[in-house]
Amino acid sequence: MRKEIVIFLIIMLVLTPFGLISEYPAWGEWGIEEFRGLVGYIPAGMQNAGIQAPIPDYEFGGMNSIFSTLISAMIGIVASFGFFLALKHIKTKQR
Amino acid sequence: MHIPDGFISPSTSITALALAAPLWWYGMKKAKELLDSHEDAVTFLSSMAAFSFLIMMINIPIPGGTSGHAIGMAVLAILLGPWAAFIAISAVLFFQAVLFGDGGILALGANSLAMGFVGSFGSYYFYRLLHNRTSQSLALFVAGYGGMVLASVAIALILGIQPMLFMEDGKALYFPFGLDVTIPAVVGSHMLIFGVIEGFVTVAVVRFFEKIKRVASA
Repeated sequence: MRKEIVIFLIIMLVLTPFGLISEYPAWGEWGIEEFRGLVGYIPAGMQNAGIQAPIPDYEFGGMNSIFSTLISAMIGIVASFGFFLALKHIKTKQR
Repeated sequence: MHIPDGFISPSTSITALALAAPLWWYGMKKAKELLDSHEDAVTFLSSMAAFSFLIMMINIPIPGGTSGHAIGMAVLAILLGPWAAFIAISAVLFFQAVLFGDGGILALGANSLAMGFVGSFGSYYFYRLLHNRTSQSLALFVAGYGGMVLASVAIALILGIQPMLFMEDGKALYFPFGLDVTIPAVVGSHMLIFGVIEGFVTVAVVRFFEKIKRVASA
């Protein structure tokens, strides 16, 4: 079954750059400046909210967006495995 | 569907985190049980989380200048059980928020409750209700569709109550559109398009894994 899972993940990985076709964000997930255009002001609570992510929008500055997307996708795969491997490990330690 | 930080009030975020915390705790225990149940479980669980991460990157444009994506909630809920699915999706949302700025960090509770908890459990119970009563493909489709629509209802509610609760001098402090706007925009687009996509993804992926499982056990 492992071989099929690897093939499955590779197919999914190769499909991720197709997400770049969409130029628009999800409904509501606009940048704060866009709210000025929509309602005439930027809601006070939205300003300076959140942190600057290391890889904003899955894009590495200056890198081709298809490569950026693929590398981000690979980071996602590694993080997913890291999380559950860690969770499994914690259990064995407790016993 | 990822709520960014600043779009909902800190009190909303903290309430959601407080609601999510015990569910995360119990879900982690259930996920650990699954991890310990057999040797391949860690590979399978991790792969399913990775699948959810990857499919959320595939943004699909729709008319009206917005886009959306499948989540894989029903695939995970049916193949792993709803608790492990909730944990996997929450973990994915955490990495998306911390590494890629997709969805807020403080808003992680709200996003996890909507996409992870409501989505996974909604999908799971739609599937349980229909499994063996209709064709397998229909049961899978409805699980994906129904879970997605329920998750969108949760997001629309969380966003839409913001201007009802938090206004100052006639201006919204956080997300400025009420339920009259968020319900048709968020739930409507998920009923018409993204729920359908989630439904087809569920049929395709679960059928694929059913097939390879049969091959493996044959």
